[in-house]
Amino acid sequence: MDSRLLWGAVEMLILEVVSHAPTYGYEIAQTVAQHSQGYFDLKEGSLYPALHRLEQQQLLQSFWEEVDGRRRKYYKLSTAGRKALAAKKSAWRAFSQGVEGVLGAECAG
Amino acid sequence: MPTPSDLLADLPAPRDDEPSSLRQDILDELSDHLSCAFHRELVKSGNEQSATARVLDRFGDPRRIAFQLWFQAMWSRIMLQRVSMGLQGLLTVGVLAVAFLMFRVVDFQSRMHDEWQTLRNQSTSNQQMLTLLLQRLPQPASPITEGGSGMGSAAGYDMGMGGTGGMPMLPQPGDMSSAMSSAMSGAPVNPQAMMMGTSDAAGSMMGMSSPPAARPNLVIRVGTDTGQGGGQPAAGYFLEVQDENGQGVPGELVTAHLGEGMFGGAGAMPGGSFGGPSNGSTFSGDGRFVRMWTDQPRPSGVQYSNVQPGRYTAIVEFPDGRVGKQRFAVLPKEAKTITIACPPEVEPSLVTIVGPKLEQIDPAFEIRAGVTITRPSQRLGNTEWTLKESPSWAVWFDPATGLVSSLQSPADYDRQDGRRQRIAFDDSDPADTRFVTLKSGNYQLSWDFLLVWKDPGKAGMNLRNPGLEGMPDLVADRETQSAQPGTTTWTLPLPEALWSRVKDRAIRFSPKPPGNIPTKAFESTPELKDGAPNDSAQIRFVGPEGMVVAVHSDKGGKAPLEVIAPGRLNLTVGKTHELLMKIVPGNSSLSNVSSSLDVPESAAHAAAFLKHNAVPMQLTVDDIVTIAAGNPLTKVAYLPPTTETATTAAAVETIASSRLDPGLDAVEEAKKRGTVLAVWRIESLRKATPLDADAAVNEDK
Repeated sequence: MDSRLLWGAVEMLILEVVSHAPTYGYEIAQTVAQHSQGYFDLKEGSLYPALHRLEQQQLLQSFWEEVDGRRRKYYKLSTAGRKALAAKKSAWRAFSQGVEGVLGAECAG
Repeated sequence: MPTPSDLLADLPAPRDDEPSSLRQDILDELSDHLSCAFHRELVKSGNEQSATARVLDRFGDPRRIAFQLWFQAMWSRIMLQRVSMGLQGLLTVGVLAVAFLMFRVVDFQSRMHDEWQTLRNQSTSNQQMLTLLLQRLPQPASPITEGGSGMGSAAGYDMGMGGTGGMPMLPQPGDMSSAMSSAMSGAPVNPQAMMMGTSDAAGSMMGMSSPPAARPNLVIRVGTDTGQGGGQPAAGYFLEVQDENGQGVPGELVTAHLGEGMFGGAGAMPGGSFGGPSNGSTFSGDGRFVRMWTDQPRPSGVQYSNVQPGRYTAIVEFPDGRVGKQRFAVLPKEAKTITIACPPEVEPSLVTIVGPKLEQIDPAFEIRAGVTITRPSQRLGNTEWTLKESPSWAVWFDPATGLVSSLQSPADYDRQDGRRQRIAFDDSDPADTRFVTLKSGNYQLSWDFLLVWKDPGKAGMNLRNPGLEGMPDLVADRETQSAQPGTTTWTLPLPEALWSRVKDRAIRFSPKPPGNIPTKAFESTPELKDGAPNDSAQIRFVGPEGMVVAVHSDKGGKAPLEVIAPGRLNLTVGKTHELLMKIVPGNSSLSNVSSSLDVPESAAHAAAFLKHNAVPMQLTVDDIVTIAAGNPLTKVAYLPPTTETATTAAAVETIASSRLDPGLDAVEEAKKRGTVLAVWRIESLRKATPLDADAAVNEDK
């Protein structure tokens, strides 16, 4: 799959997962893997840099909580992140429909 | 599982601008993730080791991810710091550049201010001099002629040129008009007059001018000597440039001290429009003269043109007598800069000389020692420096006391009889009065020795160059002595080896009667050479020294015989011999001078005299002046009756037509006074004609 397409999709998936409720890195990776039936297996080496970049872009906000004696960093969607997610989803759907349209026409033909 | 310390092992050292919790936050976040993953894998496998391995296998290198997160957080700060450092460096360079430019601007303004102040001072001085000069000028008798630039009037020219038959008139100190006349005629400007500012006055009359729009093709720098040629600009000098024919090249000169001066060839008028040919009474200005500049600042407004390609000689002269000459060539399309390095200023020095006391080796004669003092030329760079009016001195010592007994300078001529003046001392003269006046600097000394008989009737002998066969000239090393400003004492011991050779010569010479031995140095009575015809007379051309006399031989030889004064010619008696002379070799106006020499038949007593004596003939300074002025001259040598039995050439006397009253004939006057031995007629300065001499028989210098 094209890396630029994949990279944009990963950010969109992360924002989507975080949009439902505040969550943390490990849980985001597990959620994405579960919901994509294992198609998206986010490696930690790309997950955490993506989370930190989205946070620097102020699309995500973070806060710390103590769980089982450990500090855990939670991420939640900011207002800007919500707008960005809507735009990404809209673009993705248009893209997907375009692709599906083409692929469907080929099958019909 | 990696320990916290392992996770942060790859991070760089903490930075000052790093958030305090950054490292801990990275550590906690990644530790939490690893812990969650480990528990999940442990539930799956139940084995800690395999769980750890699977977590790490999936996670990758935790330290690399920790560094990646740290760098991501710090990237903006790191880049900001680097950009800040770069800007600081650029700012520093910019500040330094601005400071340097400001310094240059301030320095330039300061120099411009100084130059402007100098020009203002010059302008004021020139105005004053112009006012003074105009007050001294006579009112013009006629309107100003055309073609000049305010200086072309006849009155102005007459005042300037003086009118001495075309010969330049040197200005007298303090005489403004004569200084100007020299400038106008191209003659060298009297340095003293320049020191008095007359050149400034003249320059102001020519009009102030400005730096040339383009650099001229000849620039001459005159500076003090710093060992590398041309240090600080020299002051108070006079500069002239002559072409191959010895003609001055018109131009302009700016000195550092005097402001502007002027020099140049005939008709040159810096700043004006003179420069055309002179007809002897007026100038026509056509402005075609050449200018030459030094690279000193100049006022504005004057056009100039370059010097023509050729060979030139730059001559620099200072009021104290230093004269430097440098030859150079200006090639086509070449821009030439000549640097003349000047030696230090010379000052008078009163040199007291103490000579050697000499042992007397024979009661019949004594040996006297003397030295000839000459000042050698000095070379600085490409410039040859001499000292003007610095004659050589012949100094003789009293052999008993070593004190100076006589001084003689070849430059001092007695204008009456042409002989050199001599200053003699006797025992009553104090030692401190027996000095030689020299200019400070180095001099060369060469020894001379005389053998003087106690019998005054016997002629002495020059032991250094006796002119005897088997006794060559005495060669001795020259000594160098230095004259310091003020007073200097030279003590001159005689080298023992040299004294031994002198004594040997004296002993070899002393047994012979001096009168029978021919010498070059004394007016003895030389025998005519064997084989000389009985009907010939020997003429001795005494001077001026260096004069060349040529006469065709009557023995069939085509080439003329030549003799250089002092020298002798044997000429046939009863004939008139045509002579061609170069009185001053190198001076075109006194070369190729024709004359005739008549050696008449003589009475018996005169013939007897001529058999043992040469007839001395010479041109004195007055004679040369007469000839140079184009006047005829007749010199008659005769033997007075009272000395017709005399045996020495000193008995011969001479009459010059120039000293007789008008209407008197020199030959007739000589006949009244004695027996005529020779008549020398120099009629005029005419070009050489083929010689008709058919009686010259031989030559003996």
